[in-house]
Amino acid sequence: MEENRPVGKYFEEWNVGDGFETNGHTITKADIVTFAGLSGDYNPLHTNVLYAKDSVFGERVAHGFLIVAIASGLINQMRLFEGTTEAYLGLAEAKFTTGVLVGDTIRCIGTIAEKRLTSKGGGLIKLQVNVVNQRNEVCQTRIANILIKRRPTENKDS
Amino acid sequence: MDKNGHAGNYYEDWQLGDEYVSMGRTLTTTDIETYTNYMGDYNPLYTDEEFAKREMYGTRIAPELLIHAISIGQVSQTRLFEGTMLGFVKVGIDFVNPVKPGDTIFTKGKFVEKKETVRKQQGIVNFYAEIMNQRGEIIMKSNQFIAIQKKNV
Repeated sequence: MEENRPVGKYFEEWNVGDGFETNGHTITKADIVTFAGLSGDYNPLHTNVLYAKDSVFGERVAHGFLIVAIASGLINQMRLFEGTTEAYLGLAEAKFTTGVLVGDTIRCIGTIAEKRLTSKGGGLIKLQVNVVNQRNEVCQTRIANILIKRRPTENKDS
Repeated sequence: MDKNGHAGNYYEDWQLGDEYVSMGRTLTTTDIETYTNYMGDYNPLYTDEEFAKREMYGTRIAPELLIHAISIGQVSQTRLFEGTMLGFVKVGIDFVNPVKPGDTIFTKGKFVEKKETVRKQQGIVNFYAEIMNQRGEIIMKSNQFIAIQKKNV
């Protein structure tokens, strides 16, 4: 039993195909207002009922990146990456397929799509993230590229 | 400007060579705390100074998604997408350098191409955007495909 190890998984402890499903979060008006305030994005699709009424959604829609942020929170709350994330490298192929409305409940399904060592011996994980709503419709998909810590006892040259 | 007072470019208004530059915003620990608390994103690199001191960046950094969200806000404030942007279709982002409390960031973007879609009321514009800090370092690079309203719909 390793003492003083982080709660999260080391690079070596992940396998391609490993997956998890997060808790759900119901989107509220407060979420949208908070995110508009934090980001400074006051696009009327998110903030103006009269404008949104004529939009394809018919009502205020959550910012795409609000859902990305909440999803990231739900994933980190799983504690699988706690203390073992070296760096968040980016998002690839982030697609926004279905709008998320107030009252919708979203959750994330994460799957390790790829793992490999970088040229500097870092542990790169590609995490496939699918955000689904209460009707199991896929609202968003993306790949999160994350540098995960190597287990300290491993020979880093291997 | 349209009848609603919205100043955004319609799909037809964007031309090759068009660029934008936003205002700057200084990041604070309050921004970091507010974001991590409201989004429930408790990565210790963002929230635990004692932990972060021992890690790659030497201090708490701003969540990458917070920086990207602020960048979207900065672009929104240029008013070039006001009332005409229908949403993101596809985005790719590289997180190149961290943002630490006290850093100031701004966003600049370049129109790359436009694409028709099956929907007659909208088209897709492709922007390449960079987030820069006060030292001229690139914080993030992104390729953004955005659905934009067409005129005369």
